Amino acid sequence: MIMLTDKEIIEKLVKLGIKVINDLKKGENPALNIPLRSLSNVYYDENTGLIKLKDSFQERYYFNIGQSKKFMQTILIADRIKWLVEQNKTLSIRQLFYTLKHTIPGFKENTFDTQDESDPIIEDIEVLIDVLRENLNLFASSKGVLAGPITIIDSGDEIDLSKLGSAGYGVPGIVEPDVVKFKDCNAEYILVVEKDAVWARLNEDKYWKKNNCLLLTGKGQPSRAERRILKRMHTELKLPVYIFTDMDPWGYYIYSVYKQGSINLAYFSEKSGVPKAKFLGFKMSDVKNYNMPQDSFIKMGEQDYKRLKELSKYAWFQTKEWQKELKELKKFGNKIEQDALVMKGIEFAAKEYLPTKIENKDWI
Amino acid sequence: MDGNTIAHELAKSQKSISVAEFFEKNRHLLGFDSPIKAILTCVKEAVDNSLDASEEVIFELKRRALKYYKEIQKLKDKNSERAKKLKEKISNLKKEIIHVLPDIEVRISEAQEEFRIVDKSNTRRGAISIRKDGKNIIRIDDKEIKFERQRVSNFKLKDKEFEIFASKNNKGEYEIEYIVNDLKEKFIAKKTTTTRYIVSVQDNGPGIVPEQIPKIFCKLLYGSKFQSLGGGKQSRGQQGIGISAAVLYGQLTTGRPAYVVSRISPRDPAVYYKLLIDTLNNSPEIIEKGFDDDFTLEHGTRIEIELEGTYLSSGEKSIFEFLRLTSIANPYAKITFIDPTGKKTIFQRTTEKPPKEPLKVKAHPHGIEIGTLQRMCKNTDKRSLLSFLTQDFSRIGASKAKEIIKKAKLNPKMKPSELTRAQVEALLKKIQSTNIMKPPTDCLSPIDHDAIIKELKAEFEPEFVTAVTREPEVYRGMPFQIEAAIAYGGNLKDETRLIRFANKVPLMYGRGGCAITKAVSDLDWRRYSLSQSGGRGLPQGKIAILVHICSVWVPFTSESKSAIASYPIILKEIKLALQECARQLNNYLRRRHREQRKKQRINIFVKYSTELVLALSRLTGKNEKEVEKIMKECLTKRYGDDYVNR
Repeated sequence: MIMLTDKEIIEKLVKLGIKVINDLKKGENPALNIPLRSLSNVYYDENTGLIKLKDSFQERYYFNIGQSKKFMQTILIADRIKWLVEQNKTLSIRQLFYTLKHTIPGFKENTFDTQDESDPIIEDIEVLIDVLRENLNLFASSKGVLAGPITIIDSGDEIDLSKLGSAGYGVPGIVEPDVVKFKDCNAEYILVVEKDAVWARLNEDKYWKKNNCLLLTGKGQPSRAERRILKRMHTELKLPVYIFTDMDPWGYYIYSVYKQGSINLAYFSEKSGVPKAKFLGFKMSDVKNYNMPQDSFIKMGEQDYKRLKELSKYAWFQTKEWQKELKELKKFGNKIEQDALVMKGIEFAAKEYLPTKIENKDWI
Repeated sequence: MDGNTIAHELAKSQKSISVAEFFEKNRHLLGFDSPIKAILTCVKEAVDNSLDASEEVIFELKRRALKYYKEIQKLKDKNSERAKKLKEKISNLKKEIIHVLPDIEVRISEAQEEFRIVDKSNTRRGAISIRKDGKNIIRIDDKEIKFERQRVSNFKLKDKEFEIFASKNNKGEYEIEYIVNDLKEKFIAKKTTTTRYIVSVQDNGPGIVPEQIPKIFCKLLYGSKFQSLGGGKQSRGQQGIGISAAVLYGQLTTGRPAYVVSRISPRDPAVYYKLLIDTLNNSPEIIEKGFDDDFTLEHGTRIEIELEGTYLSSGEKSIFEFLRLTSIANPYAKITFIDPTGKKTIFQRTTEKPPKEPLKVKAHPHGIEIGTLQRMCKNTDKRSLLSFLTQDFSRIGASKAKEIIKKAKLNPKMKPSELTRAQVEALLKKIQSTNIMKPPTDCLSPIDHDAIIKELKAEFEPEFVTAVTREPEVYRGMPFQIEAAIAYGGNLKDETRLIRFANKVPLMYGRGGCAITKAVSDLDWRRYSLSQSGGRGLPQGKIAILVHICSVWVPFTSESKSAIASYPIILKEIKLALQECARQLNNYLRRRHREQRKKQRINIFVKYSTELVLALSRLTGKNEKEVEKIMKECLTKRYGDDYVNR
C-alpha cells in the first residue's frame, strides 16, 4: 500500500460515490468491487515471507436482497470517513459506529445494530480504496503493553519506557510516525510474549533490564497497533524479535500473525509483518530439555486438534521444522501454557529458560 | 284339510305390515332419524322433485328442437320457406327453455298451532316456553315447577283468562295444564324440544295432472323414477320413496294433511288437494279437493307439509346450506329461500345454459349380479336368448352374444324365462369372462367445470378457483363421471369445507364413510403448498373442495344415500380430479408467493434508498433532490409497475 495524501483519499472516496450514481442513472445495478478477505484469496509470498492478498473480488450489489443493506452501510461509512479526513479528526471505530447508528426514517430498523456490522465494512473500505485505517483517522482501542530501555515521543510528549513501573506503556491505537516517534534506544532485542500475566511476571523480575531488551505483549491475539509498533521497532531500530507463546495451535498462530501477518488483514502484512521473527517456545523439545512436570500437561480437545490440522495446511507453516513440531504436538496430545513455567520456580522463565534459549539460539 | 294345522295357526299372525310400521322401523334409511335431519330431508325430497319436474320440460323442449334441427338437415334447400319456419320454431323453443328454467321457492315457517310447550330448560335460558301460533306467550322458570301440581301463572289472551298449572314427574317430564276462563276448559300439553314447521316448496315445472297428484305424493314406491332392472338413467332420486315419505313423516308427527296445488297450463285451473296416507293400504286419502285461486303461476306445483322438526338457521347441516349447495350443483336453477323469520335469500342462476339430458341406458353386462340377471330373464319380452342378450344389454352384438351362448353351452333359441338357475349362473360366468366394450357414457349429465367455477365465484368470492370434469369411467359395468373443484381464499372461512355431490344432490351427512372424504384425506396436500397435519386428512386453510360424482347408479354405502362406496376405480378418479385441481392451485400459490417476494424485495430496496441517497449526496456533493430523482427513476426503470404500484 502506498501512502496517500488526505486530498487523494477524499478523491478516491468521492469517486466511489460518483460511480454508484452513474450506475443508477443508467438503470444498472450499482456494484462495489471489494477484494475478498478470506483464506481463498490470500497467498504466502515466500520472497518476502509475508501473507499477501490475491486479486479475487466480491461484488456487492445494491439491488440484491442479501447485499442491499450492507451496500447502503458501506456508502454511509465511506461518507463518514470522508468527513473525518476533511475535518482532520480522529475517531475510534466504536465511536464511528455510534455516529452512524440511527433509525431509518419511516421504518422500525436501524442503519447499524452492532459494531460487528460496521467493523468489517471499515476493513472493506480499506481494501476498496487501498488505504489503511490508520490513515483514515480511525483507530481501535488497543490493549498492548511495552516496557524497556527506550524513549518514545508520543504526540509530542517524551516518555521513558524504563520508568513506567508495573503497568508499562500502553500502546496507543495509532502508532504511525506522526503520532509515535522513537528517540533513544539501547535494547538489543525485542521479546514478545503472548500473555499479559507472563509479561507482568517478567516485568516484575525486571527481565528487560537484566537482559537489555524490549518487552511487548499483545494480550493474546494482537491488534493492529501492537503489530505495527513491533514492525516499526524491528525495521527502524534494527532489533531482532523473539516470540514466546503457549505450546498449542492458538499460540503458534499468534506467533505467525506477528511474523507473516493474518488472513483477514493480509493487506496489512507489509506494514506489520516481521518475517525474521523467531519462535522461542514453548515448543516440543523444551518439554524434555527442561523436564516439565506431568502436572503441567493439559489434554488437547477436539477444537485443538481441528485447529492444529488447519495450521499444518497453511503455506507459511510448510517448513520442515514446523511440520515436525506440529506432528510431534499431535502425537503428544497435550498443551502446555507459558504460565506453567512457574511450576519450575517463580523466576525460572526470567533467570533460566529465556536467557539460555536465546544464548543457545534454541528457536525456530 | 281341517284348517287346524300349525301352519294355519301361524298364518293368523302373518300379515303385511303397514307402511307406517315400515316407516317407523326404517326412519334412518329414509332420512328421518333426527328432528334436524327430518326437516332437511323433507326440503331435499321436495326440491329434488321440483328440479326433476322442471328439467322434464326442458328436455322435452330440447327434444322438439332437435327434431326440427334434424328436419332442416334433411332439407335440400336450407334457405327454403320450410327451413326458415323450422329455424324460427327452434329459436322460439330456445326462448321458451330459458323461460322454464327451474325457479324454486322454499319457505319454512312455524306452524300456526295450538298451545305448545317448548322445553328450553337445558339451555342458557333455562325456561319452559308456552307458545301459540309460533309465538311465545309466557315463560316459566324451570325451578318454579315442582312435583306437586300447582298454579304457576295466569294470563289473558284474546279475552280469555288462562290459568296454568304445572307439575313434573321424577323422570323430569313436565305436564302443564291450562284452565281457560271459568269454563274449566282444559288442555294438557306435553313438553317437546321440537317445533312445528310448515315446509313449502314451489316450482315452475310442468305441473301435475290432477288425477295423478294423490298417487305421486301419497303412495310410497310410486313414480317414474322407480327404475327398471339393470339399466336406467342418471337421476336425483332412485327409489320413488322420497316425497311420500316426507308426507308420511308430517302426518305421523302432526297428524296434519299435506297440501298440494298444481297447474298444468294457463288455461287450466290450479287444483289443490289436502292429502293423507292410508297407512294400512299404502294409498292416498283425499281430505279435501278444490281450486286454489291464489296460485298464480302459469304452470307449476307447490307442496306444503307440516311437520315436527328442529330448524337450524346456519351451519353445515342447515337448510340454508343445503339450498346454497343445491344452487351450486344446478347453476341453471334459481332458488329462493324464505326462512322462519321471513328473511329472504335468492340463489341466482349463474347460467342460462340448460342441463344436458341424461339418456337411458341398457344394463352393461359386466358388473351385473346373479339376482338381477335372473329377474331380467324372467321379465323380458324377448323370445330367444340371442335377442335377449343383444337387445336388453348394451354393447353386446350378435357375434358377441353367440360367443357367450356357445361358451355357456346354451341354445340361442331357447326362451330366456325357461333358463334354470344353473344355466343363468353359467351364462353370467361366461358374460363376465368375455371381453365387452365399455358402456356408452353419453348417459351422464355432469354439472360442467365452467359452471362450477362460476357458481363457486358467486357463492364464496374466492381469490382463486379451479375445476375439472373428468372423462367418464366405468365401475362394475356402470358408467360414472367425476368432477372436482377447489376454491381458495377470498370470502371463504378459515376452515376447510368439503362439498360432496352425487347426481347434483348435495350430500349433507355420512361424511366420514364417504369415498370422497377418503380420497381427499389420502392425498398429500403438502405437495401442493397447503398445510395438512401429518400428511393425512383434510388440508387446512381458507379452502373449499368440491367433488361431484354422477352415475346411472351411484354406489351409495347405504339406503340413506349419504355416502359413496369406495370402489378403487372411483377413488382413483376422484384423486386424479383433485390432483389436477391441486396442481392448478399450487401454480397459483407459487406464483402469488413469487409476487409477494418480489414486492418484499422492492420494499427492501426502497427502504434503504433514503439513507443511501442522503449518504451519496453528501459523499459526492451532489444535490440531494437530484440523487433522489435518479434513484426513483432507476427503481422505476428496473421494477416498473411493481415499484410504482407497490
